[in-house]
Amino acid sequence: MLPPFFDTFGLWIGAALTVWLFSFAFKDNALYKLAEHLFVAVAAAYSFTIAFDGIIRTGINPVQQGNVSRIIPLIVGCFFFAKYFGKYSWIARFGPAFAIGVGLGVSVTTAPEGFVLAQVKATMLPLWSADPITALTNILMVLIVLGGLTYFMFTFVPGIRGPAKKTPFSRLYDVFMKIGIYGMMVGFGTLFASTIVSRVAYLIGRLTDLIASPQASVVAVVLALAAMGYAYRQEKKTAVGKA
Amino acid sequence: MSWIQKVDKILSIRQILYLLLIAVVLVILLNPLAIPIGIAGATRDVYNYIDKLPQNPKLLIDVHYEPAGGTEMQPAAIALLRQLLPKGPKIVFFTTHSVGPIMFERLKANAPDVFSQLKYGEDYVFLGFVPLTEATIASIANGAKEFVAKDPYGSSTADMPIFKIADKATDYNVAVCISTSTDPVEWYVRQIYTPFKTPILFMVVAVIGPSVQPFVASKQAVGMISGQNQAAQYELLIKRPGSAVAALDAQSGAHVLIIIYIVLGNLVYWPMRLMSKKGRKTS
Repeated sequence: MLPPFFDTFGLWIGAALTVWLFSFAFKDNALYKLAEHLFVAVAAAYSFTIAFDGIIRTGINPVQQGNVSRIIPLIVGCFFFAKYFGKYSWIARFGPAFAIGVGLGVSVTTAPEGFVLAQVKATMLPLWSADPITALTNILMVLIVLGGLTYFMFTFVPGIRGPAKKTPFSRLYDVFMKIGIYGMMVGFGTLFASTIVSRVAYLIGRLTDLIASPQASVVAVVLALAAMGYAYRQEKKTAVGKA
Repeated sequence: MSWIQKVDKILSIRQILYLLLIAVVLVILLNPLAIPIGIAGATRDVYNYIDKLPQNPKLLIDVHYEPAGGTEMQPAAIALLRQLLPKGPKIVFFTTHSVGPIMFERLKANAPDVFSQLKYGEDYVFLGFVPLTEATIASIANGAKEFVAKDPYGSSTADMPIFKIADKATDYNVAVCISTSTDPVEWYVRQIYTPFKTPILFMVVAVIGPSVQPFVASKQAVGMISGQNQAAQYELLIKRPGSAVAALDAQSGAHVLIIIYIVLGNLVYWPMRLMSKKGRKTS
């Protein structure tokens, strides 16, 4: 348990870094750079320690407990350092090759069932239903899936994207393609709206933390304003000097 | 410069939008509006599913989110734990995100009512950050105890009573993936649901909600809680309004501001476009 001083100190640092990082949205300044560099440094140090801890717990500890097979990934992991020895640098390729091979092997076995068959099955929906909303949803789903697939068939029907003469089939193809385009536009719109929702939630999170430490926030804002003012003055001076 | 061009210039100053956004969110956070929150069918489905779980349900929970996403993820996670608590759950927590250990400690700190009633090693365990990504999920599905020999606090997992009943994917009633990215969602579908048919539940940030929805629609997942909105609904369903409910007014206020900006932007854009077309014709 840390003494209360560290809690207060943490709140002040958290508030200051939040405000200084936000200050970039208004004007680049020295305090923003300080916060940014601090973040990168802390993130790098933290990632290193947490990854090292992971190696110990999932690699070294099991070996100590008698699970000898874990020596293999540990050795393959050590191969990464071979790139520092010019003549043997090619050995470093075994690491990524092993990781990619395992990753591919693990995911490929279940991907067809999980990602293709299940999704295709989910698209086979009854187009008639007692509930009109369900019926409409199902019809739209089927049409948009077909339209989306049609849009991405680039070489199937002549006359779609070129000057060739339109046939009834190519016109039908055109209709489906348009349905696909509108469907995707709605999809992208939903994604964009969801992005805004998430970003606003992030902002709410940070502002909630700032409200919890008002004194620290006010001091941080004053310092950020001073830093932005200084940056603005320096910029003006440089512009006058150049002129 | 015409007045339309002046309005366009003002709307183009991004600093004004940021200031307004911060002001709106701050004002509403300090003075909540208590806008009524409707419960979506998808949230109720998740609530009902958890409600129907047997006594002493066994869960695998992946804390795969970073501090920024905590605002959306943590209220949903706490609501889930609070709903589960009366059932005496057995939970294996772990994370495939490097900042997951910090987020788990925050989760514990913000839900003391839950964790004070659960015994470590018996009712719950935290396996810490486990690197390797999809292969990790596959390994944990085949036996978490064997895969992670020691927890981050140095205790041997082999001696923990929880692993006698909740070790492999087939042992769990539900696997919950709390995530801010789509990758783990795909790993769970491929490594937990497809080979073992273990039910999976997703708790995700709003931005990836539309990408996760196909797995819910295809019934590969039992449900999804997406974003602060559904987290707030979940909090209301368990009758413990928390930080998501408190934040939803501010969320609505920010959306109104953005809608006003979009409407104003379009109102200015069309006359300007007409003006530029006329200008081109006369020249």
